[in-house]
Amino acid sequence: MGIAERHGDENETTWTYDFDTAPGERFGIAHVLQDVAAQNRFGPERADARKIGVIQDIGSDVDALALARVQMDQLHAARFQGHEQMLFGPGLLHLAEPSCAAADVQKRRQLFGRPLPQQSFQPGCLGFEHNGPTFCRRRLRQSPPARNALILRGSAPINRGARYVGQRRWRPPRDAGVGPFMPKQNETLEGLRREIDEIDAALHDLLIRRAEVSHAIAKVKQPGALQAKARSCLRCGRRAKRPFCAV
Amino acid sequence: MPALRPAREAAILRRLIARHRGDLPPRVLARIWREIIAASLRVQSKFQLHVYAGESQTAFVDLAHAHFGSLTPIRSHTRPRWWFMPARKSPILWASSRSL
Repeated sequence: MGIAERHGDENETTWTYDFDTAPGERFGIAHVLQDVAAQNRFGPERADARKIGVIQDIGSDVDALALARVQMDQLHAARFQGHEQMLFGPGLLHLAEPSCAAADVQKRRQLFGRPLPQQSFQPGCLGFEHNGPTFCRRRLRQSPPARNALILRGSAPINRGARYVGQRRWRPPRDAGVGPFMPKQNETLEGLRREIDEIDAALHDLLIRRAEVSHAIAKVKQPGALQAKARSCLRCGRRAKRPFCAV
Repeated sequence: MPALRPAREAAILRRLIARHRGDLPPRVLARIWREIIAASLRVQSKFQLHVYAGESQTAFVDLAHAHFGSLTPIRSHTRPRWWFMPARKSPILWASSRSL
């Protein structure tokens, strides 16, 4: 039926609403008139009625009453109205929850600014949840991966939810290089020696890292000690330029 | 197959020192890795060192400790035949002399 002629402003032409409703349907003329009155009351803050279009174009499975009352120009009001309209369309809630959870996991993955080795074992956008940490997240974030290969191989994945902390202690896998070594059957001498070489390289990196940290500790304990020591060392260049001069 | 592989030990040390960087002296690094290698060798095979040290015992015993680890049991001898007799039964032989 063709009804509800709306009078606009001075420069606005007359616009006609077309509605198709079946007898006994909940969508009635009273709601349409109420909506039109609300639009005229708020004026420019509301969306232009001409941009709404004909409700025939909206799918039959969408509750037109719920959509008509959302105020898009007021975010807080739209948020509360969204909760209110969930009573009319609760099926949308099930669509929103997985999306929010996936976005939450993705956000936690992007906190550190770079992909971690644990992420390479996970399919994208699935967001596996793990139990309990062993190593500090800050240490994982600050240390280069190559220098802590042993730690990273057995470390806990970081994309855990906080609600899983303390429920069950995380244990490294058997082949992570941290737990007890279980020799495989038909292990060759060359393979074992290759693994020894990898462990040696990792230990060597840790020793180098330890020396660097010790150097930093020396700077913290005595800030001027290293500079004074450097100044007191033998200066070969200066001595070569002036061989008979006391340096 | 004997547990002692001096060529592989030397290759390991050369590779580690070649990739070394930083303030840690290479001698210290070699000393650390000698201890680790000696401990691994002790895991593979229990052995005892017999050192012919002559009269100046301390220098060669210290040299043997530096190479085979500070906790490896060492027995020093003043004459060559005294260390040669038990060394025939030992799986690993370490002979030090004045020419070292």
